[in-house]
Amino acid sequence: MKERMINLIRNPNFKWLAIVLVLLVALAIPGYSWMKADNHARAERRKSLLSPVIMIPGSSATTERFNQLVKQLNQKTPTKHSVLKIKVLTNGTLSYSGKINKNDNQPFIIVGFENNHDGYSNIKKQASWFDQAFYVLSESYKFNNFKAFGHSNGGLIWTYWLEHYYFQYSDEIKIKRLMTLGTPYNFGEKNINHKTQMLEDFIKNKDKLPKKLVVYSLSGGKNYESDGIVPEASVAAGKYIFQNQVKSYTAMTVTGSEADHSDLPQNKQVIKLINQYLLEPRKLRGPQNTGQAKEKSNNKK
Amino acid sequence: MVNRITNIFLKIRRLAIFRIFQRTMVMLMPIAVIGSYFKLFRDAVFSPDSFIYNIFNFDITLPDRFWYAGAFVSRGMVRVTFGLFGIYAAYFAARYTARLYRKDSTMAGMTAVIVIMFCAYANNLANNAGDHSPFSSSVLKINAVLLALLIGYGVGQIFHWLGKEHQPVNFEHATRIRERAWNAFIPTIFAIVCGVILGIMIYEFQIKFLNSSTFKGLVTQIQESNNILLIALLTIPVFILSWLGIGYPLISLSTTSNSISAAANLNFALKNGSAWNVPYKYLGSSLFYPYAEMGGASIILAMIVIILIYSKNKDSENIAKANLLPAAFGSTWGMMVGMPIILNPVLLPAIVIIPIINVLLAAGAIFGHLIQPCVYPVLSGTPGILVSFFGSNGDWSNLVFSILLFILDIIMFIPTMKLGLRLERGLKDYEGKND
Repeated sequence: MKERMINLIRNPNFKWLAIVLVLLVALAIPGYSWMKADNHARAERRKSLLSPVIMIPGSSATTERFNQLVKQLNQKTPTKHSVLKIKVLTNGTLSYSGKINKNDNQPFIIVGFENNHDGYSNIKKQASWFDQAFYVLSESYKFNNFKAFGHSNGGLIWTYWLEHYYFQYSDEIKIKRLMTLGTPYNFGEKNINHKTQMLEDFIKNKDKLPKKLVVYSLSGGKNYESDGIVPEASVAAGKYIFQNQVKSYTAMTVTGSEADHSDLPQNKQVIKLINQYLLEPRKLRGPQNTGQAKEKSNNKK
Repeated sequence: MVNRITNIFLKIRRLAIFRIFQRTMVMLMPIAVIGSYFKLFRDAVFSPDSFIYNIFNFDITLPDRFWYAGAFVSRGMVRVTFGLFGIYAAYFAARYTARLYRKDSTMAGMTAVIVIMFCAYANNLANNAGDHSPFSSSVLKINAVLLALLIGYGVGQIFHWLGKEHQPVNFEHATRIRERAWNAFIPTIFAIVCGVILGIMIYEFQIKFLNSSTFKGLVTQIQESNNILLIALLTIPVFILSWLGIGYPLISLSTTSNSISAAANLNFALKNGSAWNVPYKYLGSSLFYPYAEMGGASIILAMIVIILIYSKNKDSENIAKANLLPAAFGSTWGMMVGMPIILNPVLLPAIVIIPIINVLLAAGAIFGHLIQPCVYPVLSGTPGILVSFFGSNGDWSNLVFSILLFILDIIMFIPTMKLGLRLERGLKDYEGKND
């Protein structure tokens, strides 16, 4: 036996086996700690109850755009939604204000851009800036689902991001609902037969949209054609992107004195619709997570 | 008894078809070894869900320029080595068939290339693939090498029946070449006509043969079953197919399963912090890759180790040495072709039996609460012996079990090794007399 062992070690091939063994062990040690950290993060994300509402304002608007909206949404709730505002500078760095409260499972996160100009090329840039913010958010807050809200061009940034960036996260993070408000899917075009390049692109890539997404598109009816700025036909063009592509697509029009394009985020009907459709149903009684647990078991079926 | 077994294998091995396939494989060894190194780079280093990429955090630490260069080179080289392997295999199979019968082997090889390219074209068109280039067809991939071998063999046989006697000479002048070309004309035309008929059949009947979806049924059966006996039974066709040179089922089983049961297991483990009591303890997807295949270690790496320790044959040792590193990270084609393992009758029993024993032992160990089921996702290019360890979120008993299982696999290879050595001697005598 002993002789055999000596023979084995004398075997010139033994050194190759030893080298590969050493290499394996050398890689296994960092691999082990990486794997532990990765599985830990995975478990944290899986357990997370956090389901933020991420909002993107329209062009020329800042992260302060939704202050009034948030105030109104917080009026009748026992637990106030906390607000985190992130501004993405043109060089990709993020500046924060506000914070997410510890026991708030449905915080609002508002992402605005230093360059908040209109136009397709800017939308593309803003989508990539948004993605940087989203990556940081997903890594630091470890939520496993979220809801999306976009006013005006904010809805375009969402659509572009969903078609081009979301797949990187889709395994671990689900987008549940998207609500767009006065979003000009065909920019200023009144006639659907004149499709802008952006709309063409959105339609071309629509199969990349998540199949389980629920979409609401709200438009304002100041008069019979538009909300004063965005033609109704341009908002309605969203159906060419979402209809029969996502799980459901609902279009609604709100009218009345506050149906101006820029008044829409403060409109009482809109607030109601956000409460009703975008946010999680309010939990009235019982332990904090029953609502969530129920929803999870419902989802399984 | 041993002699009788040796004689049976010797008889099989002496059949013309096996001799041709063995020679073809041996000839293709360099391409396969080079390809398996690039595959190692592609799967373990230059892809975002790979082992080395993640543990060294290349996302941040590696400059984009190097990353793109590395991904470009490794992907491209895998594509031209393994992605077009069928062309090389058909060429050499036809060549060695024709040569065995002393016909014009080069022309036979070229004709086989034409035939297989036409089949690839027909297959791609029939599948309505987005990319119409025949070069991207699944017919040409190394995972379907059996097909290429058969086409090459068929073309070679046509040259055998219709071709004129041909003796290679050192110097050929134009008239001789012309004569040779005319001699090859009839068998070439006949082979191409056969190829066209084959291609039409592929196109007309939309034969979507041999790609990853062909074996979907088999693969999902294994992945989603929680029945040990069924899993053990179904590993037999998977490994026989891979021995035949059809690697699609094995490749599909090497990727992470996203079946509902696997997700339920992972969810349970993440929620409870351990995988001891997951709902599906014996799920095929968490038994097959970590134990039956062991990320390429159960058969290929075990064979390499035993050759390096025991073999006295310099050639085998060199092939084993060249493949040690890629095989340790699950890139096994170099050894499959170089040894060759594919269509090598001696190795078939071991290749089929060892994985079954591994699966049953692992299931027994899970039953006895010795090891945890592997429910966590594992990165591509993870060394085979570590798959079970990492797949159980670093349970040390899983690591010990894997190492013991690997040693057992090596020991189980000893009888095959001995039989192989006897056969080698017998074959040497035989080939010395003929050929």
